[in-house]
Amino acid sequence: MISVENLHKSFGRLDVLKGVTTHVDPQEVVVVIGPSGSGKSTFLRCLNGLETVTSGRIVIDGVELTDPKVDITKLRQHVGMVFQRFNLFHHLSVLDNITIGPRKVLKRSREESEQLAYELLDKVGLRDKAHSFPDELSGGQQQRVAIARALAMKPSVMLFDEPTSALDPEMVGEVLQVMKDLAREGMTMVVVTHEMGFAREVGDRVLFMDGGVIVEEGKPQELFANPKEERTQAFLSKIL
Amino acid sequence: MSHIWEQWPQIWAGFLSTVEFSVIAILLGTVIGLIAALMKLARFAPARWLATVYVELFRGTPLLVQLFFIALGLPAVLPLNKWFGPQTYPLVAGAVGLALNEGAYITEIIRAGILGVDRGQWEAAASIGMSRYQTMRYIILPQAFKRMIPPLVNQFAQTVKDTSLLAPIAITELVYSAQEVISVYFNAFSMWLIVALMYFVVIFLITRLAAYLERRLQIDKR
Ligand SMILES: Nc1ncnc2c1ncn2[C@@H]1O[C@H](COP(=O)(O)OP(=O)(O)O)[C@@H](O)[C@H]1O
Ligand SMILES: [Mg+2]
Repeated sequence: MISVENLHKSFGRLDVLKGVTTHVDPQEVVVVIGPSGSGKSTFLRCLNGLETVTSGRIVIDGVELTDPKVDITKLRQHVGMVFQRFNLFHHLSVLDNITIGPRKVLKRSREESEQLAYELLDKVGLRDKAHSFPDELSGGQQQRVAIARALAMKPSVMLFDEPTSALDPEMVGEVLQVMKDLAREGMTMVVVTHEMGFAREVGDRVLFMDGGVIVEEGKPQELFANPKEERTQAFLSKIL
Repeated sequence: MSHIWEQWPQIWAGFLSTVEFSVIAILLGTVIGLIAALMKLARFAPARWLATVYVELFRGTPLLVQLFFIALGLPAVLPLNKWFGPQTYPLVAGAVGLALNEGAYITEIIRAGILGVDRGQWEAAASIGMSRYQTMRYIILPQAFKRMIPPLVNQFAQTVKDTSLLAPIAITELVYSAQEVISVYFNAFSMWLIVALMYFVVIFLITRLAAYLERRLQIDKR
């Protein structure tokens, strides 16, 4: 599904990713953890071309994203992304936030797009908010709409960058629930999060990143119980 | 003041001409400003350079000099008066000169409005596969226009004032008409007072509109 080979990314003289190699299988849920500044966001952003990579190879669904001839805009339609700060379109209603991708990018009719949008709103439990505007919703509701917006493009992979970090604690659960449902339905997911419960429950594999490399990876239970690397131990002892 | 009614048609015609030039300069200037702003934000470097040179030239020289240059300077080397007709060319020069000048300021307003939209909006649009054009058209510009409205309306008020500089290139707008009336009736005090009042009413209405829009947009943030 996704394969990443020796990925390097620098901003000017700052080397952020220093050789990341990994793969994600279809229907796999990979959880990425690591201290702040370790390059987790940058890694995800490289996966959908929001950052241009400095060197290395990324192949998604058989398409080499790092090939300059590849139409990155096209590829992004298959890679959904959910941001820490939701990034809903402020000037559009919830319904329009979800339909604008299918309508303008996939050229679907309004009726078809709205029908899909209502199905997705049912899935995230927000059908009654279809005509609200993002600023009228709580953070948890906004993030659920953002997930529906990404799903409307029928992506083959979903990337989540700390989707619950900007939420008040009482709203974390509702967003995680939507993500768990998605995982159980077989969506391929790469999730940067500090929610260890989520990682344990639906994660197939955990990657621990530090200093721009994957320091250690493994099944959640194993990695959390018996971290092999000192850096992993130090990080886990701080957050568990 | 007894003869004011005899002079009124001429003053009114001048006022209408001022309004016409204002409207043309605002509309044309906004179109030019939008194009130049998009050029300034383009990835194609020559487009950025061209727009930057335009903005700097028109903001870095006096409007009056620009108007003289276009109305009187250019016809000295190009047969513009022949192409447009000697009656029409000064009007064209006045409208175009004014629009180019306003457009330079509007470019910066629109550019700032576009840059003021949160980067996350670009990224979210990109993440659902929108092209740069689609992102600009459906996501960024609609949000940018809302924040641009107050400064744009203020620039429109400025445009109305700037039309008075069309008088020196012999366009019979309000100031020019007033000068003509005064040369006959020698009523400088009352005439300039009336002219000032007429500008004031128009500009006052525009700035009230700006204040109103600003308040509306704050209440209904979306
Ligand atoms: N656009 C950018 N320009 C310069 N430096 C950046 C940029 N984005 C991220 N960085 C730097 O890269 C490093 C890793 O950032 P990030 O990937 O956001 O880490 P994480 O998500 O793990 O907290 C940080 O030092 C950050 O300051
Ligand atoms: Mg991050």
